[in-house]
Amino acid sequence: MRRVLTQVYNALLFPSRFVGADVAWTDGSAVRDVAVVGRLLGVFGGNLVLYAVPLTLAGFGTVAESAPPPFLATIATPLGLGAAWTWDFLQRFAQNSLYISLAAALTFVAFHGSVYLTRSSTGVVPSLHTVVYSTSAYLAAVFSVVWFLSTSASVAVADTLVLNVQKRFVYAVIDATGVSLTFASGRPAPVSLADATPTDQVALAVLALTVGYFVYSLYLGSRINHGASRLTATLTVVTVASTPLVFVLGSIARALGSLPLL
Amino acid sequence: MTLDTTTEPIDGDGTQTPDDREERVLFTTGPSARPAGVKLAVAVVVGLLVEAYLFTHPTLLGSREATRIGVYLVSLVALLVVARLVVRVYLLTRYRYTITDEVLRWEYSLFYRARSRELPLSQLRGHEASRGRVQSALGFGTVRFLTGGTNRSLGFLEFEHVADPEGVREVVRRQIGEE
Repeated sequence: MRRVLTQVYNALLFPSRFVGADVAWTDGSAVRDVAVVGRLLGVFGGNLVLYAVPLTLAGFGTVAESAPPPFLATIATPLGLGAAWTWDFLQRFAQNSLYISLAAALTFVAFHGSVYLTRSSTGVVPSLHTVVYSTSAYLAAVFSVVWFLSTSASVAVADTLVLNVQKRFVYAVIDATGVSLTFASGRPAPVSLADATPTDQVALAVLALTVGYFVYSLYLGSRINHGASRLTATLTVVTVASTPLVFVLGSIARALGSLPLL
Repeated sequence: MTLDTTTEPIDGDGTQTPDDREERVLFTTGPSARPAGVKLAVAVVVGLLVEAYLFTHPTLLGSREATRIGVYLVSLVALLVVARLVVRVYLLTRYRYTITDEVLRWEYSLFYRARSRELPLSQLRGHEASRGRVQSALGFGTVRFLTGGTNRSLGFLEFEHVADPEGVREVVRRQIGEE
């Protein structure tokens, strides 16, 4: 418990301690590297559970109704859980975990690719350390705030604004590539902040703060764990920030069956 | 700063053994909290100034509501920075740096927890002094000592925010016979 509190304290007040890896422990033998990778995946898994279980228990996630596999009843019933409830919970837990796991994987590829191409890389393990800590804490916080916006009636304007910004970004990419794709919901109408309540305003400020923490943690990870220069660390952050663009381009290519820029 | 203070090592039953040699303390000090205190004051002033500017220019970010979001964001950031610096100032008061005729010692205690680290002077491979802008303005500096490994290993010590960092190095130089 004390360790968790220390991590929260470091994550809030001393992000450099939180994302900084002990490089001396990761430049040794392959066995030690494997042990460190195992520990890091354990940290990610633990944080994933801390993030996704409360969301799932709160009812987030939608899955098609289906019958639970027969073996589930033999496991769930002795624990006092219904097979149908457990099956629904597991499916929604997997769904809630999937988005952040995908985001973490994309972040890792972009982060390590950037430090590798700029010849700042000190190895895969320091990159993994950075991404595990930055995504499972700060990005999870960003996702949690977005989940909160999507469900709480008191922050409807903030939720509409965040969705609007995302749609505008996707349409900006579509327009830039010159393809003719539209959402079923059409182009987003401008959102006025005039109706934003103080709760909306605070929620948006907290969202901006968590995004700032995530970006700063990646910058620190590049600086501390790879010894990168300020310029290289900034380039790494820019590369990671460009992954949504790659994701949207990939989605467009999937919809069209070819790359939109070719 | 204390010079030439003597401590007497004793064994477990409280009596001094013939093999124990008196440890002579050449220098002892703690980090100054003033550089962090100045940063704290600057953070408070800058935070208040930015907020005052946003309050007096309510449509600076496009609309009153957008500017209010900016005010909340600046307040949150300022709060975190101030909290961080307050913690830092307090922690700095819990460190103690000592140079004896045999070792360099770094000690830290907080809420009944204590840590200390020693580097034998005979194994010292190098030392450096550095001053940040705030440290330079206030006459403080940081001295780092290395016996082996990296700056994250046990062979590394840092005397942070000490007055007269060159004086600290001079004490070490004299003791290891560099000059």
